[in-house]
Amino acid sequence: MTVVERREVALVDLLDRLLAGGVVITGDITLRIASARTLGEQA
Amino acid sequence: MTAQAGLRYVYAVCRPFEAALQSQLTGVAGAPPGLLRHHGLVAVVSKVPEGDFAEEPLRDHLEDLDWLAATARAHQGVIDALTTVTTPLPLGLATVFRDDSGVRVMMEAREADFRHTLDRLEGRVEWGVKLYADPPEQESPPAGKPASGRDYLRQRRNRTHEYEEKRRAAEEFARTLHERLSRRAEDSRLHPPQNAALSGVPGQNLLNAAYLVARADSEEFVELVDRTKDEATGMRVELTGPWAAYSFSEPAQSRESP
Repeated sequence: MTVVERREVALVDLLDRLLAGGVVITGDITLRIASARTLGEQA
Repeated sequence: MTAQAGLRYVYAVCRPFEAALQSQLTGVAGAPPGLLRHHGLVAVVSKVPEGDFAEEPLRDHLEDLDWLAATARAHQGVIDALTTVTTPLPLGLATVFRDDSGVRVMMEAREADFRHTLDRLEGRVEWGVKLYADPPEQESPPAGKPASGRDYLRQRRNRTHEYEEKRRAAEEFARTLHERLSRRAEDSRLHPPQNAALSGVPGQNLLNAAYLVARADSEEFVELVDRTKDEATGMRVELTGPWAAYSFSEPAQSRESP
């Protein structure tokens, strides 16, 4: 399985996926996660 | 009988898999992930302290970029480990339940959904491709000092025209690149341009896309992306992956644009 350049994944690429991607499931703890874009504006 | 102490942090849902996750693997809050089986599906779960993952403390933590970064990386470590042994259906960050029974209720309710999506994603991974225009400062140096006002205006017009041409060409390249890569992938998603303030990357983000590719086709796909780098003058092509199929876990229409 080809794996590209084992340099560390950029945080922004990671947060884009973890905050805006994945299957949407409502947990018992209900939160609205700030989008990566909003985080960028706060940073 | 009191419930087992701690909340349940869920990373992903998978079909049962043979291989064991490495014993030293730690997830969020340093908590190793375990497997919760329910009706032939498996949730990958860590027990996490209520002091950090109940609603209020969690909300506070998520405002802290350092905590968020550390948690995101630990979370991704678990997904990466899963991606080497199975095709996980990844969840977003911070999906937390009160106890095992809360997780089981969720799996029961979503079982058909999960099976359908797992079938669709089986044996596939996501590749991320971004295209950046090199920032204008790196463009050709200015022409010689203008001899007159008219000269100055002419040089300025030429530079503007040159810039607009380059911009048009770059956007055309982005379109063509996306078309070529989409043809080689099973599915694709166009994401909004990446936040430059957060990424700190120079140059305009012209393309931010995800491609769903079978593992068996991935080497070819990566080679194709590599070849496009040679064609991308004045631009940068960046490839990330393989990822679990974050961008393809939901049907295209249902995800609202951020």
